[in-house]
Amino acid sequence: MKKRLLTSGAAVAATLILAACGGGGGGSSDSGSAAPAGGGGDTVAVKEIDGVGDVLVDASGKALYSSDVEADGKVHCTGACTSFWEPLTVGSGTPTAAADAGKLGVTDRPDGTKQVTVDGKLLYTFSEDEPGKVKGNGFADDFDGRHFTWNAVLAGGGSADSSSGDASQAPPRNDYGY
Amino acid sequence: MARGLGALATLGVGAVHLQQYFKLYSEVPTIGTLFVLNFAGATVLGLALLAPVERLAGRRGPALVTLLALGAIGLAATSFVFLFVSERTPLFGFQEPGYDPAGIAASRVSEVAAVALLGVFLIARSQHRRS
Repeated sequence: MKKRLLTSGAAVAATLILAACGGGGGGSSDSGSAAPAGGGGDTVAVKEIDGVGDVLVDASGKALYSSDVEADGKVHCTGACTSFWEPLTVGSGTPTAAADAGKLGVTDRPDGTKQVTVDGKLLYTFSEDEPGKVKGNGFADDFDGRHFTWNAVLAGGGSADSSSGDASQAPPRNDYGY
Repeated sequence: MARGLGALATLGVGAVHLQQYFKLYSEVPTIGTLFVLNFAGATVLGLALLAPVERLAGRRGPALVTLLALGAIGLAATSFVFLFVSERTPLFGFQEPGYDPAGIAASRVSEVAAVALLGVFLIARSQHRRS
């Protein structure tokens, strides 16, 4: 009886662990990395998204964001910040972009990786986005004592209006902090 | 019935925290560790509540079940309160901006269910003893 009970308990625990792990996105994974140059689509492309406009997207179609804090061109989103905002990086290749995306560049991150910029804006994907969705537009949070406000980057160098995007997923506009 | 469902809700609390740890919070200092501890505690309490503790622990069984139920209620209630607080002010240096609304909802539902079901279980058991 005890043996049967232990087996049942272990099965329940294993099922729960597998279920929990199955939904994991791997916080600081390289899912924000750009496709290698010449490996298919552009590193940065342009996609029209309803309610937002012509948004810059990565090779997988995920919207690209920049933060007001990094308007100076310096990297401030590091550590836990990159669990939520994944830098768009390139390996050894040169990034490529659609003609109307803007002026492409690369900036060295503190961890040694190379982050893609457009018109000087450091580009990130939002961990909760899927291709064609803009859930992070207007999102505000705090890391290392800095208050970040994130906006989707539009073709031509502009930023999306904070009120646009996927309204059903839009977070409250409070001051958040970490 | 309420004990079994409450135990499952407690396991759910832990599962949500582990899922959120792997999905988003593993790199967040203190919070990430607390999420893993939450999973560990909820798993131990939930599985123990599903086990026939009265039979295995003998004379001390009923008291142990009460302690397990109270522990699970405490864990779920603490998780609920910590989330509530962290949405309004930094908690262990982290303020929750609502990155994953579905995950937050799942956490709240499982926590409320665990507290309610195990609360009902304890009340019903104490009334049964008196009668």
